[in-house]
Amino acid sequence: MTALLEVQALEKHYYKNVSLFKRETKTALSPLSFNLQEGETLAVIGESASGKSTLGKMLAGAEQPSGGQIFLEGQELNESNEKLRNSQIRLIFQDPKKSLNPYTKVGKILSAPLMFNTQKSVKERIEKIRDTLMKVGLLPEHIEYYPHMLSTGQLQRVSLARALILDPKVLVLDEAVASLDPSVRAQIINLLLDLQDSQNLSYILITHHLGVVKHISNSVLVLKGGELIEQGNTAEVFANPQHKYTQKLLASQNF
Amino acid sequence: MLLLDIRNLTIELRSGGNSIKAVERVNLSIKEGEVHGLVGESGSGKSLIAKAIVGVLNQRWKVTADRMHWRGQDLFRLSRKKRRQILSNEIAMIYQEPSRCLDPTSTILEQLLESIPSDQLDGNLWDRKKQRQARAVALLHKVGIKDHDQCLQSYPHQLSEGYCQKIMIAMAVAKKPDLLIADEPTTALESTTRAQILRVLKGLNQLKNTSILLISHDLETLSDWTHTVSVLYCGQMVESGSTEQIFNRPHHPYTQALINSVPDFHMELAHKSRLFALEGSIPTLQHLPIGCRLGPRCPYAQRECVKTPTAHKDHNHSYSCHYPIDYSQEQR
Repeated sequence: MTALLEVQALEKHYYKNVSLFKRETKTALSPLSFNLQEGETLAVIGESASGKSTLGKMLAGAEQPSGGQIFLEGQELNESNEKLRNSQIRLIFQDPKKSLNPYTKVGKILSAPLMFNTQKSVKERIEKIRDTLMKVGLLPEHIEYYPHMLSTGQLQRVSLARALILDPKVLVLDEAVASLDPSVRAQIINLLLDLQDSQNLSYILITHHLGVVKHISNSVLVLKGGELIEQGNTAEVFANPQHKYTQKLLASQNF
Repeated sequence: MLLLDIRNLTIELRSGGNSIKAVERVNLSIKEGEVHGLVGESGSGKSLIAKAIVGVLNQRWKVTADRMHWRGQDLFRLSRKKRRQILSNEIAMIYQEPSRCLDPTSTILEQLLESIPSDQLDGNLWDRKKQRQARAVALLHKVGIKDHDQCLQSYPHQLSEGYCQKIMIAMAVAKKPDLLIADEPTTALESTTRAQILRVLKGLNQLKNTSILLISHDLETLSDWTHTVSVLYCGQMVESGSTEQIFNRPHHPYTQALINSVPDFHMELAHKSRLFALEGSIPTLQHLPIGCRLGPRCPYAQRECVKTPTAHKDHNHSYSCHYPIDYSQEQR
């Protein structure tokens, strides 16, 4: 069985021109490889500036990798099939208040990805938006709402709907869960788990909240300063961390 | 003796013709040398309470209280100047986003020197200058910054968020306050830095006997080192008591929901099982429900809940709910 998402030796460097002939290289992410099966969750943990977000952005196509390959269901993703990647791997941002345009209604926010990626007519689009809103626990009436009229939990549902509207296979959640208030966070986690069951979605969960990681992820990557230092099944890594850094990270959360 | 004793604190916002009670009849008391946790989700008024204690709310907010005692002195009866004096000498506050609270145009050294009070120094002008420098370095060491030379010469934007937070703490403890109000000191930080900051605060509490009012939106940070905890929901105090009481026997449905919604606390939770979550969302200030504000979301709500519940008290454990969770049957 081939993995849904296969990443091989993915890396990212940033260049800075110091003088006319000299440039400095900064490594944001050293080469790393992993597989993600359908319906599973991969968590990426590490401190800030460890390359977690860079990894998420490269998977979703917001950043170009410096090297390495990404395969989705055996097909390589590159510039030639950007459309495929854009509809199959979707990114959800940390702060829903900032990632949704305050001047547009929810309906318009949701119809934009459909307009750019599908051939649907207006009627079909509205139908699809209604379905997706129901799926994330909102009402069809919310099409006419502006973002400021909704609460944080509802806004996070809207961004989830925006990601789900193209029927993706993989969702990249960049700190999308941990920054919410506890009671709302529990609702969103339940929703994510329900969607995973019903649609067989895969998640890449980028977070520093280890409790959530332990609860919903199948496997985990530990990054430090752009290096992959530990990788494996979540239960095994958490029960028996090998690297010193992982041990420190786990100890800091007092389980 | 009680260090800070507040009864029925109400904070109102006047907008248009009517006034909105953002914080309604909150009681809070802090003993000497105690770490008190104040938990609540966003919009529950926890920062407002902290600001009301320090007196930095602007004119639009109306603060009233039956009593607000600091070491037996009623703060509301003092003259403005006297009150300011007590507050600035004995209460210090750490704000939420450290890198935004520091002055971006001057170095850390200048800002630290400014916060050291002159009555702690003696001798002539030259001596004082030297002492100030030494104090600044000592303060940095106290909060766990070892490379003080480099740190003192930096501007806030050159330092990480964790460093900025430590510097904020250093500035707050420069006056040796009796009460330190920490308004979400660790939300912007990742877990290893968070542990460091909490260790610094814990050390201050144990070595200097400083009382700390720790404000947080997460119960997890509070669970292992606060002595007492108060839980706020939408400006109403729902439950307060010692940490063990709150965590082991919560009487209010909201406290119970908060504890159950965090996947850390119960290890026996099955992998990928659904978490306990309250229905609905936090109401906004414009649409606060009458009576118990949890009412519309509460799983046990009944007709009586449209009246504001009074606080029940039981061995320092107070909770305001008409239908609290009953543990008496469990005991039998």
